[in-house]
Amino acid sequence: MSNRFHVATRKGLFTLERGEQRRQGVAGDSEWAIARTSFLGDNCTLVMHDPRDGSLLAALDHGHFGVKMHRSRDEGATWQEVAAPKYPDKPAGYVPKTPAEGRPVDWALKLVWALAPGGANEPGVLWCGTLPGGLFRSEDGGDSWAINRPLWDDPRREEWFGGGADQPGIHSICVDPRDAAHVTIGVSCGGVWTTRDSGKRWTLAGKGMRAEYMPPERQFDQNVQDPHQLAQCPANPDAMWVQHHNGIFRSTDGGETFSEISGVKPSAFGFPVAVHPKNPDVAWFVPAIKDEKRIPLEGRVVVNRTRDAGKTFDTLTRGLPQEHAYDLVFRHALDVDDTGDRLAFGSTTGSLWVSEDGGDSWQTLSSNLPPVYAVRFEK
Amino acid sequence: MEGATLREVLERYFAGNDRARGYVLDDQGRLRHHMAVFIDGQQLQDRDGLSDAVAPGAVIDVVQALSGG
Repeated sequence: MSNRFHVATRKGLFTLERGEQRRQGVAGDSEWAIARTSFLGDNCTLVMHDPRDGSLLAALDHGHFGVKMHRSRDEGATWQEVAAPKYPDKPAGYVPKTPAEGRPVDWALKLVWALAPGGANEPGVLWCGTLPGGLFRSEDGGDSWAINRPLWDDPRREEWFGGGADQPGIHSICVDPRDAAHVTIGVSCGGVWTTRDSGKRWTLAGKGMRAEYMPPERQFDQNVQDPHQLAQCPANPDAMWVQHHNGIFRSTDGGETFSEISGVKPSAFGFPVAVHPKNPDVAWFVPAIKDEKRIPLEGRVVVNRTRDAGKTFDTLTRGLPQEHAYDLVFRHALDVDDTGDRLAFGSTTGSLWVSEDGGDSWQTLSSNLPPVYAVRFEK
Repeated sequence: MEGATLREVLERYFAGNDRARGYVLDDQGRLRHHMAVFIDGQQLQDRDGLSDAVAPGAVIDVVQALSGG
């Protein structure tokens, strides 16, 4: 069970720890507290904890100075700036364009949108997904990065397009715990892709996802899908869940094919999905009104949990604000620990909640944080 | 720093301070969106190519552009 998690926000990185003893004083006082603050005032867009060596990697997006990466090898006490991913030089005279409108698009790092440790048997290997549409790999714990050329050079990659952002990006990276060479990624908008040889060859997977924002004849086109997040069950890696732009989808064959979960109340729209580490039939979502509004339905923050592979959902509300709450939860801002009992999520309006009972009840840890981009347990 | 163009001058500087490169230029070698450069008080014209001429003895200011957020 994890007693520590990290919260990446618009104005810094916060580390929450759970004390061994309930603090003296007010009854019901939280056992959780902010134990450390890093990069205060800076835009920390993502954080990753590496279970192989305990190191932390934080992505910063400075308004003036661009995207930077920092690593800590002492649990966040000190940080060292390490390399940021660098796109290959754009060929002279080449002007990449959006697939639909034909508008010129930029070719340079905009955002680090996914960070994932490689397999347990490949220490130092990290994967990094970026916007626009890049996948990078490090073999030295982030000291250097190399773009994955087979995916970058695939002509289908240039057909990807932006969802909420102006440009497409890779936001989900799932490394198969049985075989680290098997990696599955989620792209907004570019569907689900998989490699079985550490990235030498890629297959466009994700059959069965449906894009209702496309004309009828293209709704099942795999390369136009907008999975907001792709999540894999560690104990059963063939079980994958997608919170998609217009629905929830589930795969039982490692992302090759997906089935749509229909009739989800109050909404099948949202950004994050977390899957139980041991039970592939259990997953959590944070629904919102789609998609021009992006606020909780009726001003009530709820978590949707299924325990039967999507046949039914419990809409969990205990401890969550149920009137005039307009918190939106981004795709990396919900996480579950390695037991499946502890969950935490944070919102665009700076609220942070934790559950110790699989989502049955929640406690508010803060209502005053900066906008939350990512919540990550140490595992 | 010697150099006939801004690019040449900056490259000389970055040769001794490579980390500074990524703070001033993006990964394609262009001036970052929210940075500004003045050569003897004149704002840089070629933000992508950095080909603006630099006269001997010129003063180059590299500053954060006005922005918010």
